[in-house]
Amino acid sequence: MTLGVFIPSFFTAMGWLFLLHPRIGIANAWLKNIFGLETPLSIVNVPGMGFVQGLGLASVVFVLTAANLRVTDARLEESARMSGASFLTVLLRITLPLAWPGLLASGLYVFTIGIGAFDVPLVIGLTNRVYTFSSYLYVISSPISGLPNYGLVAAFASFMMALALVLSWWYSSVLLKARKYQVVSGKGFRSNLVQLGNWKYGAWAFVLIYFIISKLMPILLMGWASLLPYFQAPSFKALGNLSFNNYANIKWPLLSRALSNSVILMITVPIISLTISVIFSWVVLRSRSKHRLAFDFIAFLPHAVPHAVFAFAAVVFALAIPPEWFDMYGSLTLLIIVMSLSALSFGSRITNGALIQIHPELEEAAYMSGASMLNVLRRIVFPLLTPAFLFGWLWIALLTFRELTAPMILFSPDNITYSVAVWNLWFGGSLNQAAAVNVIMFALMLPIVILYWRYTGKVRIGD
Amino acid sequence: MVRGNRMVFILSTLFFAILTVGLSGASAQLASGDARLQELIAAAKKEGRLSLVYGDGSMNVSNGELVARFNKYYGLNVDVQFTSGPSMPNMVANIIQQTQARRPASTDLVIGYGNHMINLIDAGAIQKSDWENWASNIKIPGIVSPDGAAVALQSSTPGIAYNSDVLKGDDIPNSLQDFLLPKWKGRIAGTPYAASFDQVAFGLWGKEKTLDFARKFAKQIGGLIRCNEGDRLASGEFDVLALTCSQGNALKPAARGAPIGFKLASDAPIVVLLYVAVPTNAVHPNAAKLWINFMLSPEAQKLQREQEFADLHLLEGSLTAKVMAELQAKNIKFVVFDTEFYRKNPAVEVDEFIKEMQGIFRQ
Repeated sequence: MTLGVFIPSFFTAMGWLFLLHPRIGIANAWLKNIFGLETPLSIVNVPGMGFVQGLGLASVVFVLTAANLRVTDARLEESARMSGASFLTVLLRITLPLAWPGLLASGLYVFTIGIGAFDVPLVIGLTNRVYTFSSYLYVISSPISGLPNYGLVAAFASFMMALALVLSWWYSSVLLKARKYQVVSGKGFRSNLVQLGNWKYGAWAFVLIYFIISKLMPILLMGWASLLPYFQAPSFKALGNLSFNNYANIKWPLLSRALSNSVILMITVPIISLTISVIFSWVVLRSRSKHRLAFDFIAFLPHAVPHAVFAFAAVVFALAIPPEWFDMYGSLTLLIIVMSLSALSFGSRITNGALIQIHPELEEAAYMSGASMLNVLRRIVFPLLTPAFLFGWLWIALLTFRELTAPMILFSPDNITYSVAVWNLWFGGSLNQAAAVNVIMFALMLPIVILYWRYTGKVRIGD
Repeated sequence: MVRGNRMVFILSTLFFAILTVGLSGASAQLASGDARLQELIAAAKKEGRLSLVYGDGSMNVSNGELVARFNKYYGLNVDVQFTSGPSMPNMVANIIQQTQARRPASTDLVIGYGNHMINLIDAGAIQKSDWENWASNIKIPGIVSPDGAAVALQSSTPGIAYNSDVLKGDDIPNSLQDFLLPKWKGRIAGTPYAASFDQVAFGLWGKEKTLDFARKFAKQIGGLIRCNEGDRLASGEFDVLALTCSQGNALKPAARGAPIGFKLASDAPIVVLLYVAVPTNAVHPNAAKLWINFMLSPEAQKLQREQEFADLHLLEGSLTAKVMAELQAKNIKFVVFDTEFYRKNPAVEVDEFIKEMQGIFRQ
């Protein structure tokens, strides 16, 4: 799942075009030749774009729900099984209902990403004049003559904020019943792995197919593209054009500048956003304030407001501050602030999901035993939150790494990020060099991801 | 005779006096021009850097050759830092924003077409220079915009890009009108921003005729791609892209081996000037001015021809001028789109037209 973060969606989209485009799709050519199908499959429609986007977003849903499922108390499921419930019944009546806040949060989160998704609709939809909200907005707000139409972007934001209100209200109503989902309690809590039995083959097949079509194929495609002078479908003819020219022509000074900025962002943004997220979650789920849900709404709002609007507002804000006081315009500091606030919704979904499942009786027992609040946090809450916190930290770091919208709008030569450098290469017509830069980044990031896998593989709730 | 000799003497004295004054004036002007150039070089030395931000496809300075030649040209050692940036309209908007907020410009040079330059000039976002006094390569009329702020760098010739594996010989379309034939249905790509059709409308066909064409053309096109997505022609996704933003959109991928050809549309002979200018709040304005003068030198123009497939048709030795002359001999009359064109045609009117065109293309 983590691997997918390093593959820009436009590569995946280009790959799927080569597979399932009605005219040039390789898979379609096979289907025509082998089965004589008249009407081939087509990716250049709304379901096609949804499929490609969905494959990419599955990683985000995974991280938002995995932390919750990790802390599900095995005793509940075991009790059900002891009472004769089948695997499916346990799944439908115990596991999934308990994970409902996490599922809902990730559903809402991905829903808003889907509405704002830009690169897949741009690569796949625009060529066939199939528009989504975001690609339509791009077309009408980015004229080749005149200035960008920021008013339209603001109008779009108003709609999104209204939608955010509705979604946030729905999510809040689930949070109001938080006690129903508290599964980590002091009475012999333990999580357990579910034995799949013969289902394991099906599960492995599913994971393998998912891995091949959503991760392996785009990675191979990216590597393939990086060796070509112009983008071509894999063929014997194309083999003759392979070279390392794209690597030789990489603009290293620019790339190293972009990389160092991205690394700074990957370190600072998760720390800031998760710290604030924990505080917000604590207030929402543990305090008795009447206005506690307002905190959650505030935490969710940055996600509902398109990053473009958020970033544009930050530009206006930075320009309003006299430079002799504090000049943030075009700085990396402004980008850190904006991205930390943007990540707040993601961070708070994770910390909400984790905290919601920790029964307050653990803390109450500690208080009863004379522990101070600091001790309760240090010795009970934080250790239980650690896996979720680590998950959140890594994922916010990775999402920060690939975030494009805010860094593009707040762009300056001093704060250019890696993702912006790759996007600019692609947008400027150098798709293959963008692939080469991405392959290098992939190679650099892989050891970090492996370290993460090894670490999270060892850390389990209850250990 | 004596009287005649005296007359000759007086006239010759006067002639030589005028000549002497004239020559000394000219040499004084040369000397002052040279002094001004030296002043700029000294100032650029102090600045020590030139920060360039523009779209990656606009002007390739990253190979180091152009930078090395620039430094050699003036005896400088300026660090030229290139950052690939957003699209031209976005960059222009950024520069205007930075000027209005009295912040340093994020780039020392801004690139754009005539319409972008008019936006910048009207916002007071680019600075004027006394090019005629010192810039040895900027002498021909028409290179600099009348107010002295924008300098033409390249001539773009939008046209028809096509997949050269699929289309050969007589199959290659000659004109925009050709695309209305039934055989092209679904095989053509347009651009989402209706590139170059504003020039067709305001400089050649008129608005009504262009809109009428667009309505028929929109039914023929299979989809929309951006100007620099040549890969999508090479892949066979589309056979043709019309109109492109410039010749480079086809010729650059073709130079990398992509099966893409380029042809000017006989009924849309357009030349659009690409300008450069120094932002009012540029951090390194002197190095930027020297860079502009250098980019118009024969050696820099040659490099642009080789790497960008573009040069300025107003300059001697221009390949674009040669191509234009060949077509003009066939009675094709080019219309040049400079800042003055956009001054005469209000931006609001052009923008409204483009929006209408985009609406038609979207359907």
